[in-house]
Amino acid sequence: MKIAVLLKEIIDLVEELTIMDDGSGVERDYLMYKANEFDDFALEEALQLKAAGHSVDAYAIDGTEVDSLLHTAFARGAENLFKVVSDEIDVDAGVSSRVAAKAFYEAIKDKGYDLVMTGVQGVTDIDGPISGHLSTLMNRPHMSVVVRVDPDGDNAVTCMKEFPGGALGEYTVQLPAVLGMQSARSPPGYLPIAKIRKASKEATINEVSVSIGDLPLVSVTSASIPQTGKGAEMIEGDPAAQAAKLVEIFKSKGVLS
Amino acid sequence: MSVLVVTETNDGQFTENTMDLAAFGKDVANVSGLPLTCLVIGNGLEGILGELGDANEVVYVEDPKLANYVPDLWESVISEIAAKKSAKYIVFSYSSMAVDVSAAIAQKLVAHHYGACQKIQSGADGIEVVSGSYGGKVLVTTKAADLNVLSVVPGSETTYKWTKSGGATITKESADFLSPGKIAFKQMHLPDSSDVDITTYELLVSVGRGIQDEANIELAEELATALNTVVSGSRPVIDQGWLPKTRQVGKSGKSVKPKLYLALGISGAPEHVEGMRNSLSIIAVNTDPKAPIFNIAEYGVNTDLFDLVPELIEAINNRG
Repeated sequence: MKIAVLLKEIIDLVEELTIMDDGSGVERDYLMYKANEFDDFALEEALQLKAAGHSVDAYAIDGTEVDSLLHTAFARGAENLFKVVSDEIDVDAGVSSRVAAKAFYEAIKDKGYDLVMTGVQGVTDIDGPISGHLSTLMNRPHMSVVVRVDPDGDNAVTCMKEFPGGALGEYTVQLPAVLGMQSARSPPGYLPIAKIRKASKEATINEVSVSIGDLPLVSVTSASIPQTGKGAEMIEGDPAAQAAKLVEIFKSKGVLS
Repeated sequence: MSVLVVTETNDGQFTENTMDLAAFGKDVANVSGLPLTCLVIGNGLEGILGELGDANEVVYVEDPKLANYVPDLWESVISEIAAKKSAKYIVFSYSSMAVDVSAAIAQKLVAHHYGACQKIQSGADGIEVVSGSYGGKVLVTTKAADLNVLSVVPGSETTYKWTKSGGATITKESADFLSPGKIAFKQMHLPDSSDVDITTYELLVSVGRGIQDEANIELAEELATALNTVVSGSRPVIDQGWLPKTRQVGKSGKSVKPKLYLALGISGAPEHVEGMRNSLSIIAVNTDPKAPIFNIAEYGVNTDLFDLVPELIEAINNRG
């Protein structure tokens, strides 16, 4: 089975977000980027399949930290690395999930992958999850919120899909297929920085140039940061004073005698 | 033209989020001036269709093949009915099902897709959709297009209150148009019931990414013991294997409604909030003063949980 894992860097929400002066969007100049953790799970599950004899390539849309993203994938076990670039994508303005889906489609459509795996979502996917868009573009069956994938003969995989309440649906999905990964059978293991450094020297990143065309993207007319704590009474003081106040609240709520 | 709400069922009943979603659909219908159609997909569901009476029409697509949810069959049915009803707005709850099909359908119909929708409103320049982005930290307003797929955050406030009554026309459709799919349902695995049931506790100590490391779970356990309860958690903690799946609160975990929900180091992503928003009271402890969790909490503590929790354990154990 030939597997492609699609990676996209996302904004690190640990950083403070500010809105542009004209209110039209988030100020992007000082944003930090990181790997999408759901893509990490997609790669992890794909690598579990690789251990059983299947091949895994990694693709990433061009971006600020994209080389590091691909080198990390290589260090973890991905074989061939591809950076997807396009004159029509303004990386600094943020890459819509729909644009990413089209770019990935153009990059992989003729490569004969049996299984395409990517993260279930990103933090700015207003345009919808990448895997859903991609499945229609590729005319392949699609399942998302998947937490485990196992081969089922040569032409299918068994997928475990999450439902509310912790229930898992077991499905057979015929190949070729597209999967959106919520998690993996085990979390990605620790990766020593030395291994990533070594990968950055040894790995070759292949550039794939693609054309996107016009897409029906949502256009943001204004953005705002919701007023924080609009209903919350903030408990001030040092931790000891805050703890004392919390004990009072626990008692008043009837959860502590 | 119409507004098409895609309902969801579980064990022969509408999901808890479906009535909220239908009310959101009514808001869309009112703002756009279009009639509301609710779509029900399944088998043997006639008995519950009346709950959608507030709509103008309920379309029920029934077939034994549709007894269990299968993504590609659902995608075919929704696309078929959307075309038949000339749906200008297709409205989903942001659910496990919607993540499978909403973008796929938007791509198929060349419709605009609006994720994490929270509100629809009339703007100076037409109809506007308000969505959460950046993990719920930013609200963005976007313009509705000619053809729109909305994925609505459960629990979003609506102007219309669904009454489960009214005289909606009920139309039954056969699923003869369905061709065999490429995905087959095999079985449902229910969660392990040998662990504690977090939905039965009046107080929950819940930990998120802010707990940082598996070793720190012990600190939360110590606090939970002092409070005579158990530890639950948000998705990242479960995915790391630091707590069992049975302790997960949120979209793909349990929905809890305790008297008090103590959220330690939980940012308040929409997926988590969906599972705890109905708690009677929420206390949030977070180092980020702009964490969205503070928007829904009754009390907030903007302090490092590692400074607060030891003090709290001591204060509980020494209380008068």
